[in-house]
Amino acid sequence: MRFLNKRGSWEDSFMYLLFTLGLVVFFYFAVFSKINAAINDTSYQRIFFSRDLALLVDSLHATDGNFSVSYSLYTRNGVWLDADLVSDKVILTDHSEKPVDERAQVSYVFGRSAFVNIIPAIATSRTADYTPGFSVDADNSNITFGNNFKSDSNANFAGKGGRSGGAGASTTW
Amino acid sequence: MLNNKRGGVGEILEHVPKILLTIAVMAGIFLLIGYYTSITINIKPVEVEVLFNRIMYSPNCIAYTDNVTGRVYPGIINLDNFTDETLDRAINYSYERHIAAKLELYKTDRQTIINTSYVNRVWYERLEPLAASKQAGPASAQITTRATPVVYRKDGINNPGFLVLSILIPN
Repeated sequence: MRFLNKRGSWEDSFMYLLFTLGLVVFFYFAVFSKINAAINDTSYQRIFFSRDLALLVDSLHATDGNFSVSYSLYTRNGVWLDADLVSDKVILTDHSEKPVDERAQVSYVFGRSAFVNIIPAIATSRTADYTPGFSVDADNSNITFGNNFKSDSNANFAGKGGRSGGAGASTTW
Repeated sequence: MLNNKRGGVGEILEHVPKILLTIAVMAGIFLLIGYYTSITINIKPVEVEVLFNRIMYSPNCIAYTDNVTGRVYPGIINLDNFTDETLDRAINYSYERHIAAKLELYKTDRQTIINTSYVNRVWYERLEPLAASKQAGPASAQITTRATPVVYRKDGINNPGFLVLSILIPN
């Protein structure tokens, strides 16, 4: 062994220790960075909400009458999402000051109709007045995102086709 | 160290197994994290239901609409609207290879076909052979069939019938 070597020196030991320490620090830094990135990753939320909102908008094309569905983009603390409704799809992005086109997007298409107009709108999971959600409004001619969120999740109007719980809070006619 | 007669390359080589083992452990941890982090969501059954409901219940689709009241009558099919053009105007996706459907309207004997129409006919006919043979893989598709008794309206007269919807979703 080097340490027992008559010709071994404290410099060898020091360099050996320094190298080992460097390797350990690098290992912990890499692993914890990876774990941290996995914890803070919003991919799953963006995929889920893009599909859920797209299917909701798709379903609202089949309605006959005026609907306002309260929707909550509930996320963990620190996660701030924006939902962008465009003519043929719903785009979910992490909130930032950049335009939506310049953000990392997850989108899902819904079926368009020649008889229903999609009014583009952006909804966010955190509003200035701390409203926990937004509304998806539909009449026979238009579908858009609005500000008619109602937090009464017990509004399960069986006779009126309401639904409650989960990401969609309540439906009103 | 390098001035040691027994130093130099030999000492550097002593560290190589350590470095390789560290890299192997890191790779193992990254693989475990990737394996147990799931971000895939399968919504094909829901998409089938949504398309079925849109076809059956949407205004300006195949369902009969009263001219006076504007009310839609689900379950009553207006044979004049049972066409590819009507369906494609009522339901179309910007991504063409997203979903397709075939609608077959039968008489009550379920043998005599009255009419056939499609949502996204081009892609349905392209992928149906693969889906019917249950080929696996990303180029193939899955077909889900829904059948329901209906009434179809022809020349102002209601007749009983049977509607079979085959909804195709590409993999």
